[in-house]
Amino acid sequence: MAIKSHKNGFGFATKSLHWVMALLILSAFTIGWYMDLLPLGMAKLEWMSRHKSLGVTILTLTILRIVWRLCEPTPQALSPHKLERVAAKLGHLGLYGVMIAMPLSGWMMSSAANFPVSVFGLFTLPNLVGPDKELFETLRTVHWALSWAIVVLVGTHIAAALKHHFIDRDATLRRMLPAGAKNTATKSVKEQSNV
Amino acid sequence: MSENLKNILKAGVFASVIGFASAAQGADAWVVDADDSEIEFTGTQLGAEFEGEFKTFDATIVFSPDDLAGSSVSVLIDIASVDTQNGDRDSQIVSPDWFDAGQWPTAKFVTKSFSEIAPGKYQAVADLTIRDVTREVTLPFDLEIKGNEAEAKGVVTIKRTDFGVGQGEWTDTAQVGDDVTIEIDIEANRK
Repeated sequence: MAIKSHKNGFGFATKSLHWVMALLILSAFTIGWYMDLLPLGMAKLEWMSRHKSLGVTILTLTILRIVWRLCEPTPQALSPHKLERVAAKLGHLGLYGVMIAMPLSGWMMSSAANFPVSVFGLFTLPNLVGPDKELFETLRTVHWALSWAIVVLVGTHIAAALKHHFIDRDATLRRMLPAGAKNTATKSVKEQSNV
Repeated sequence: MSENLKNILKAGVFASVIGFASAAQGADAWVVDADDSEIEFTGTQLGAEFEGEFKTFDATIVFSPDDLAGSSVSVLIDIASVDTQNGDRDSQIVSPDWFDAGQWPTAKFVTKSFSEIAPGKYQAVADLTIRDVTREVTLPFDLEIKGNEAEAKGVVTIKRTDFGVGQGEWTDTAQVGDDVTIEIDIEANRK
C-alpha cells in the first residue's frame, strides 16, 4: 500500500491517521463524559489528566492530518449525487472543525481555570488565556456543546459510510479499511461482482 | 556651676536618656501595607504548575538590620482567604482533606532567629504551623529599606505532606505534587 493517497484510493498514512484518531477521539469522548460524573477526587484528576493528554494528541494529529491532506490528492467522492457530495464535503469540513475546536476549547478552558495542561506528565503547555472564572464557564459550555456537535457529525459520518456500503454498495467504506480496496473508485460492489 | 558645665551635663543626661530609650525600644516596629503585600504559592497538579495566594494575613514585624537578635516577625495567615482562581480547587483546599480550615483556620509563621547572609540578604529561621503540625523552615529573603519604607522578598519550598496537607488518598503525590513553593513579597512602613 502506498503511503500517499491517489485519486481513487487512500494511502497508508491517511488510513492510519483516520483509524488511530477515531480510536483516540472515542477514548477522549468516553473519558470526558465519565470524568464529569466523578466526584472531585484523585480518580477524577487522573482521568482529567488522561483526557487532556489525549486531547492534545488529537489536536497535534489533526494539524498533521490537515497538512498531509493538502500535500496529497484526495480520492474522489463516489456518490453520483451532487447534493450528497456537497453534504459529504461539509460533513468532513465540520469534522476537521471540531477536531481543532474541541481540544483548543479544552486547552483554553484549562488555562482559564488556572489548571494548566500537562501532556502525559512530559511537558506543560503554555496558558492560552489568563485565569478568568467567567470565561471558564463560557468555555465549558462551548466544550460541552461541541461534544454534542461531535455526536451529530460522527454519527452522520458513520451512517453515511454504512449507507454507501450497504445501500449504494460502493467502495466508500471499504477503501478506508486498513486492508481495503486499492482502486475501486468507479466500480460499485455490484458491478465488481458482475465482472 | 558655670553655664557651660550645666549645658554639658544637660547634653549628657539628654544623650543617655536617648541612648536608654533606643536600647529599650530595640528593633523598629513595622506596619504591613496589605495592598502591596502578597503571600503566593506554586503547587503542581497533574504535572502542571499552578499559582495561588492567601489574600488575608496579619503580620507583626519588629525588625532592624543592626539588631537582628531583637528582631521578630509573626504572621497569621487566613486559610479561607485562599485564591487559586478556581472555585472547585479553592473549596477543596479549605476542606478537611487539605487545610481543614474549619478546625485550623490560620497558619502561623513565627521567627526564631535572623541572620545576615550578604548585604541586603537575610534568612529567617521560623516555626511554620499548618493544621496541627509545626515545623522549622528557613526563609531566605532580600530586604530593601528606603527611609521609612521596606520591602522583603523571599522564597521557600516546603513539602505539603510534612504538614498533613492532603489526607487519605491525597497523601499520594502523583497527581498533586508534594513540593509547594511559597513566595512572599511584603511591603511595610516604619511605625
